[in-house]
Amino acid sequence: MSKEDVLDIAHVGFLEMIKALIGQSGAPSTKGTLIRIALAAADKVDNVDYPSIEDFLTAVENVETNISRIEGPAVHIGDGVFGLPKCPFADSIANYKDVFKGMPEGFAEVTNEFNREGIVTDKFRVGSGAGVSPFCAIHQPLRSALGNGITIGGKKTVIYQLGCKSAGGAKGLAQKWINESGHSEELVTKVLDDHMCCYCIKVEE
Amino acid sequence: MDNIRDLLGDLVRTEGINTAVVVSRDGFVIEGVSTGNVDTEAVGAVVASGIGAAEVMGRELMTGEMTQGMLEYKNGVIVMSTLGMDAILAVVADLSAKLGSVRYQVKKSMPKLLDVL
Repeated sequence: MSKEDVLDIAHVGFLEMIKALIGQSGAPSTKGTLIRIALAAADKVDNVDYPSIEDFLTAVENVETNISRIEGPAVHIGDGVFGLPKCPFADSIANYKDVFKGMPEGFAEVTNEFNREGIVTDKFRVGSGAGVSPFCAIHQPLRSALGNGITIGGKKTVIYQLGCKSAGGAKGLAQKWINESGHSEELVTKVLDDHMCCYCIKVEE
Repeated sequence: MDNIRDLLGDLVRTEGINTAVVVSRDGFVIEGVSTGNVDTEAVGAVVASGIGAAEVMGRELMTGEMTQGMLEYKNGVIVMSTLGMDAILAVVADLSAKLGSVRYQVKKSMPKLLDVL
């Protein structure tokens, strides 16, 4: 038996649990549940202040920030824009697909719900086109909520989700957040050529 | 024109109604008013999953689109109504409430709430 044939029951259980949620209470409620799980997790993490932006970038490089701890190392492209080389759910997705040759039913509906305008997705500046799977409904709000707990020189930071790329290579762009953050669609598209996720961090004046 | 909070305030002035909440379909509270100790944020999540489950049941049993659901408990009643495609109105009433009056007040408030959403 090759390593690829080994079933990771935690991965499969997690994906099947999302499928069950969709089947039992519908896509909108499932999306809300996934976001609430993310926000509850972020609530358990302590706030951190970095004396300067350089200190923060060094911590990112060393994978020492609260955000790095949940998603691994990110690459600072410049001007506060980051690219994430690997989706933190990539292993779960790959394992499930290896075993079942596809994703569970209903996942596309949750992704569509996540991309619709909503109170919480607006509050955390996520979704709005940047969702490419239900996992984005956990990952993006979690990162933004953790970002709310990061200050740089005592100033608050805000995170904008700019885009994301599916395992199949389809890019999802959050035009709303691209416009609001002042970055260009061209930049985000280019970042997604080499990364799975693109976001920016701004320090509030 | 009234705002959502005013309209929910009118609802909780109905005898027996102690909580009125408008939540998005994903369970986040748009506005809520309670005269008691009810955590309206917590109501949002359970109402969304409750109505989601009721809708799945309706679909499976081919009873059409859901418009309203009423759940009776030992100490009270919950009335949940869909507010268009994107929101839900949930009203919690205690045993002193007259069910007909609760349902009438809910029905009366629906078009006004839809106007301001």
